[in-house]
Amino acid sequence: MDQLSDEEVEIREEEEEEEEDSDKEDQDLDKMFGAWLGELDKLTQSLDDGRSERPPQEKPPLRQETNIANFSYRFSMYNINEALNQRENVDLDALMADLCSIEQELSTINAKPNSSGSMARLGITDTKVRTIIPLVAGSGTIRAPAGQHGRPALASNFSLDDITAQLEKRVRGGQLEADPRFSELWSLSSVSSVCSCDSHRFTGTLSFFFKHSYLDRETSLILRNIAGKPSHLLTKEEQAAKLKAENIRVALEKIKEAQVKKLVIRVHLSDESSKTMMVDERQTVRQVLDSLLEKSHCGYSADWSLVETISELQMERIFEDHENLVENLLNWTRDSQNRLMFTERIEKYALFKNPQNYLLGRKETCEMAERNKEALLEECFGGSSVSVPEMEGVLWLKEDGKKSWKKRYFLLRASGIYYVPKGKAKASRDLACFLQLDHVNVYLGQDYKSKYKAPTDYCMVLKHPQIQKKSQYIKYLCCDDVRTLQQWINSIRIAKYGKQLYINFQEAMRRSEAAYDWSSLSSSSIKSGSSSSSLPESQSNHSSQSDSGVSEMTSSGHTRSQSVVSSIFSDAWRRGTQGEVRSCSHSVFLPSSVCLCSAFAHVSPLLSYQ
Amino acid sequence: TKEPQTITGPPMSNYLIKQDWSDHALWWEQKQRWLLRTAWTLEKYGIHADAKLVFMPQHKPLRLGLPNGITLRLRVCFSNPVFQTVMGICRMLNIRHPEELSLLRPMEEKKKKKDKNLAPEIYDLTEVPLSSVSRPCLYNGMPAHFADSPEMEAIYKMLSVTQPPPAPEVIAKQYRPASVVDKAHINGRWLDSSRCLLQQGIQENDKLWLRFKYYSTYDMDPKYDAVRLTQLYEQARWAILLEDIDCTEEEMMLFGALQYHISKVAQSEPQIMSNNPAMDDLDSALQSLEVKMEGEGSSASDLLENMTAPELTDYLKIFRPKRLTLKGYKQYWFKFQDTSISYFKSKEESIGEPIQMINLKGCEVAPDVNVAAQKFLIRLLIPAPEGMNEVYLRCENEQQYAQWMAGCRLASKGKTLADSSFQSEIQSIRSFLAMQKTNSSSSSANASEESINTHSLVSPRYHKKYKPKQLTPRILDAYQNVAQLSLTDALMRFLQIWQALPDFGLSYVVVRFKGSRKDEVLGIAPNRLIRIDLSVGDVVKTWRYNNMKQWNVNWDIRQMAIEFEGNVNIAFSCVTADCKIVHEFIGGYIFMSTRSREKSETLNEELFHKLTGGHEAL
Repeated sequence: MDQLSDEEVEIREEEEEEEEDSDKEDQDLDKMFGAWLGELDKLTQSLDDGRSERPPQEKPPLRQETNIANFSYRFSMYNINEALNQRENVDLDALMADLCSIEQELSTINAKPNSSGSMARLGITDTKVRTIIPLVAGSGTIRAPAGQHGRPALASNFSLDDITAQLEKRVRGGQLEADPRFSELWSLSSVSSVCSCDSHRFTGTLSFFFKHSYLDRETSLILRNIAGKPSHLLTKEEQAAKLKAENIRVALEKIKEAQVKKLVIRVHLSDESSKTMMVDERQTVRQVLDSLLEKSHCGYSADWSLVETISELQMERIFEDHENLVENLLNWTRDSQNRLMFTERIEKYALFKNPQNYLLGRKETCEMAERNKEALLEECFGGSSVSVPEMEGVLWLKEDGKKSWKKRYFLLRASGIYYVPKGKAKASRDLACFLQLDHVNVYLGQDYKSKYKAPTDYCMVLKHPQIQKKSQYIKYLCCDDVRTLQQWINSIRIAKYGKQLYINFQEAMRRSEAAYDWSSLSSSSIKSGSSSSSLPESQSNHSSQSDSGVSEMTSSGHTRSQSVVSSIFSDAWRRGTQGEVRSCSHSVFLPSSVCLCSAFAHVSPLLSYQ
Repeated sequence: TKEPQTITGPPMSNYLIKQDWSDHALWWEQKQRWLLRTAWTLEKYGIHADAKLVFMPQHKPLRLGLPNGITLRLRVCFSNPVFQTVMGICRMLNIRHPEELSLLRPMEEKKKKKDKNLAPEIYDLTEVPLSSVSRPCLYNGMPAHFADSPEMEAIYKMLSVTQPPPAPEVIAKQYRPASVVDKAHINGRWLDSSRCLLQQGIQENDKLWLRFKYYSTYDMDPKYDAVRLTQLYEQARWAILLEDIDCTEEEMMLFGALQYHISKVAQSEPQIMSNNPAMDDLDSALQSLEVKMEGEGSSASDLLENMTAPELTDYLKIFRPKRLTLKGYKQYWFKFQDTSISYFKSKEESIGEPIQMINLKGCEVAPDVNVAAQKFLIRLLIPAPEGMNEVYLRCENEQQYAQWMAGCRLASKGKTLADSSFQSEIQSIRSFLAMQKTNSSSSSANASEESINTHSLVSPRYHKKYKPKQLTPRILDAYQNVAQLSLTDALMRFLQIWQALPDFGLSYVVVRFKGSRKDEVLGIAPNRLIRIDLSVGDVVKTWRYNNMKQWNVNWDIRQMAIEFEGNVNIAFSCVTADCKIVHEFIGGYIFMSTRSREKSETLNEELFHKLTGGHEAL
């Protein structure tokens, strides 16, 4: 029961936060959205024509705050606080640059003509900006302790300049430490909210407005009727309706643009230092990595990774390049000690550098010629569906709530992880589903031998990304050796992300090659092959007949391969008929230098060597 | 001679075809050989005076069973290698990439007495002039010869639109391979691609099956591959239903859900043959903008009402199983807003603070429904930093359930009730509930189109394991994730999941390895060969074509020898299939992999024969 009341308090907090946002009026804000309002105005006129207009006051205040509330609540302030407390240089310059650009954005919006009348009529009210600006401005009195928020006193017209100037002053002057409450409030999220909430909030209301009421009934009916009709057959009326729809779509797109949230994050480097930077909520991990690489001037390699470490659970995960960074970071709790690391990790793409160790289900590591690797990767990822490596074997499973581990026979399938129930055979239909992969991520457990009495330290963890504390919904698996562990983790990644993983890798390689080209240009060194490391090796290994690389093989045409094939076959035939004892034997020869794999790459026509 | 005096004679065109001898050729029965080279002398062919030659048409009618169970009667070539015969059939049926298909001798039909009156209908295509097939040009999205008459159009529709789910009895009656050996026997029935039908003992009007033989689908484009995609789906569906390929229970439920969805969408949306991408764009743009307004009146007040976000409010009962309370379900006033639900003590208090607000974004939603027992439960598993919170919402009736369930489903994906898919989500939930209702109501054979027996969607194993109404919630559960797919997407998804099964693409043959004393099974996959221990069923060894250097067929002792890189040599004789069939499988897969990414329509027939043909071919 205690638990319940706790939760209620928490939620009430959140609610209150919303309340204080929602029922205030601010005329100034109208200015910001003038650009769209002109359009809106026209639209609503058609709506309102001939109809009794309801006074705007009667409309309930529109709220679209849930996301923002979560947003500012969930994100960890720990990292920033830590940075501030360490009196480090928080890379304020970079931050300032980011903020300035945002200010510019805002000021251009401000400059647009306003039409406050329509705004009021639409009932769009927005106070978020004002509530947060004071928080950032740092007057500690504005915000009462959690649970009993007072209404912040409203200072009007804060400009971002003022804010940032104050910020800078305070941080430099060390005033932040003097006021603990403030240091908490000076959260990255509130800063980012300053930049985003206004437009975001506006969007919330506005886009909803668009979806539901911008078209009067007739127009929508017309639109429905003309869907699929060629444009020259439309009547004037219909064309007008279409035009209207088109205009609205453009407006919606603009709004989507403006909805972008920004977030200040702290990234830890391997040398214990850290960087603070601002990320856009749309940015993928790849994009953030690229900008980090650009800023940090470290040599480009595909292995650079953003790693999430959850210290409380002693686990970590390399973010995949296609993932959205902000979305993932929002899973952290407010007081989270999680870290975001920027380091080189060879295991990130080891799967693609030595696919033979992961995709073939072999027990022992081995070497493979580069061109065979490429063929293998194409075979696995090039088709319409990705084949998940056949992973199966005995793993240790940690029992819920206990520090004991039990052996089970697990199998990986595209549809999830299964185990063989007691007394059953391995037949597919008898397998019991252990987990489906849609909702969980795979993490690497650290030092579980001592933490959970695991049989070995080679542990992986499966959990919903939002879970941040110990829970029965976290599943712990332990492997006998590191090789098995890496095979499982990578196979699960394949099952979960499929072809996307390969696309990520190719993209990373492309960039590292481009980066190499740049550096080689600037240093005027000779391109010796580090960017295309895969090719020369394969050539030396297979020097026999062709000294053309893979690229040439792919470019050679179909017609050519045909004639080559026939020559092979005549060769084969000759061999078969010549000295052989067998009277009617038919052989198909595939000389080693060819390696059929090229045929299986689905890229190059078979046997296009010579 | 008879004068054609009456008007009831055959139509003129028919008459003319009969007069046309150009399709006729000589068949040398004794040597099982066509004499197609008209420039050759009889002597060159080695024909003596006592030889019996038959003068007959090269194209004759054949009954052809398609993957979807339909039987066609069409004229096919009996004189060219089967590979070309299949090409001709595929051209007529508008199936691209005929190299992936082949002809299979059907199973012997045992219960002839019983099923006599149930003889399947045969759709006749023998009237299609062969000349018109050679150049496929499309009218209304179908080959010209199908656009001739409504009857022909109907046949084409049958080829290109998925069949409704079969009755459970039909599934149960079908032959189901019980073991790997059974499956291996089926592969002994493939016809030899390098020889003609007549040489393989196929007679006029015999029945053969057209099937996808090589599980290496190349360049599938739903726009051009309506028949191909449909037939491949049907073959996959039957493979699942008859347990030709093994899958887990979860996968079976997903396959069931997809079949249900596909059959439903296929029935409701008559296929639009001409897809104009520009129009599609406009459609979707308009659709996303379209307003869903309810209610008849369009008065200003109604309109303003609609201006607020669609709100869902009602009295529901909530239960939290994880809490250590004995309270059970408690009733509150619930309010759905954006992606959150909040609840209040009563409607009157809903202006104030809610007791709790739950954001459903990213949560798992599972149904727990029993229409007969009037149980409508929504199970929510809501992620939180501390773990997952379990919350059950209990609805009073179907209508309420469908709305709240749809709301929860959308919210879990981060969409609000304002999303355009809200109404369709409600609809699909309701139709699924209706299905459960008809199932549970009684055994009365109510053949309304809405009612699909869930037993039609799963293999007979699950008929025994679950009653239809037990299956419904499980399929419904899987159905949620696919309910919004378009027909084509659903078909593709079905194929993808099928292709991702571990045993996908394996064709089995019982073989005896050199030096071994027992029979073993060789599995031939698109990229590898596997050796399976018959007694245990385990994979003993895998060889990939990547590493293959050469293979030999010794036609005298019917043995195959394959050499892999690293001095790995294997040799085996084939037990359940002719070694030509195994040889053709391996060579065929290598041929399939030579097809380049650049989509060229020309088929390198010569290469195929080189890789798969016997010694005669060279």
